[in-house]
Amino acid sequence: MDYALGNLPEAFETILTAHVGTCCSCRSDVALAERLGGEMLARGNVSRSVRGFGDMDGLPDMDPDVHVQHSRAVDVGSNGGFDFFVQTCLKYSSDSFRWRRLGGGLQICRLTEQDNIKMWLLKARPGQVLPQHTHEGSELTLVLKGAYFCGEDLFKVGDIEDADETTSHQPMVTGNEDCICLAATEGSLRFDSLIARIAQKIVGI
Amino acid sequence: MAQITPIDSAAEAREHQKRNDETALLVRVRDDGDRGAFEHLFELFAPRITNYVRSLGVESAGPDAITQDVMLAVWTKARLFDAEKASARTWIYTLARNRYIDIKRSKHREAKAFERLKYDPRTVVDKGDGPANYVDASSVAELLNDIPREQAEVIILAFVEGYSHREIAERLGISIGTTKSRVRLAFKKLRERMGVTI
Repeated sequence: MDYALGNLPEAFETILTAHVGTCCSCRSDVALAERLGGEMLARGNVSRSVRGFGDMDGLPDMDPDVHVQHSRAVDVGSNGGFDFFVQTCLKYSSDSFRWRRLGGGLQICRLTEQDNIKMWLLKARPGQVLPQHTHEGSELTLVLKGAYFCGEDLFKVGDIEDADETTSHQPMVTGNEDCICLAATEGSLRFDSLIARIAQKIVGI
Repeated sequence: MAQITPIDSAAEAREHQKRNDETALLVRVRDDGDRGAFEHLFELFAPRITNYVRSLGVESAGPDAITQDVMLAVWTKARLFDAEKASARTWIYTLARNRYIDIKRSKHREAKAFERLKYDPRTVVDKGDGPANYVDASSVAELLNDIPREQAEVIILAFVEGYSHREIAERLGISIGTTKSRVRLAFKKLRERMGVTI
């Protein structure tokens, strides 16, 4: 609903735009929210009139060649994995990614930081278990390549994990290929282990 | 909050007719460049868009100017309207919402909007004709009358007051997870309801 109403910070919007484009269930929710918004608008109170354009003959020409995304529930088709998301949905060039090794096979790439929300990529090897952690605020994680388990939940390419300060989780990469995720994180992660907290000071996630 | 009342089928039928009439006007604008039809749409929607924009806390940017931007887009981009995919009111809402997002990105939302957090959501729909109350109470009741009160409450706070999930959670003193859960349950019921009537 936040996405449909335009109530999200830009980093969360970026991730949800990529996810909604490939998830028919979420597109259905967005379309429903937009219909509900239309009903609220049309049934709204009218307290006063609004200054119009004066003489309607003064209106500009209608634009014959406009390309505007009106609904946020846009189907971008079946996803093709990492390159598809990066090029089609995220508007990034994968060549621009500057990966930083954390040890143990983990790599991160920081993309943006705005209003205390960091957007970053995480790459992990098959079988890798990430440190148990929770968050200071909301976190959205979109799987771009591979898959991981969180508890009993499996997240595959195109899936999104919605976590917040009440969530404590420990993702574990599954399958035979690296797992690459795009995450937007509000505030800092809170790791249980001392080693992870030391690494966090160095890396700044 | 609006009182929960039984569905008024006659009122819904009138709303259905209004929805179809609005869409017919927009189709005339799209197909024929009909300025009279556009003027009628302007009269119907411009004041409501202004109230909607005000409800989101966009004050100094000039709600009237934003409304004119949105209505100008209705005119210039009418050829993109597809009546098979959306009603006119939904399409115009998405234009207004998109304009709001553009403004929000270019300028942080004003602190004034957050002052409304002190309002009691249980009474918000019944308060006068102020800018934070752009939706008619009885109309909301028609839309949400078969939804449990606690679920209707989060929908109203989001759509009428422009609150985010987190702001709703803070306002109601519930977790963000509970807020999202209530939204999901409300959407499930609304999908059944709106799939038939809208």
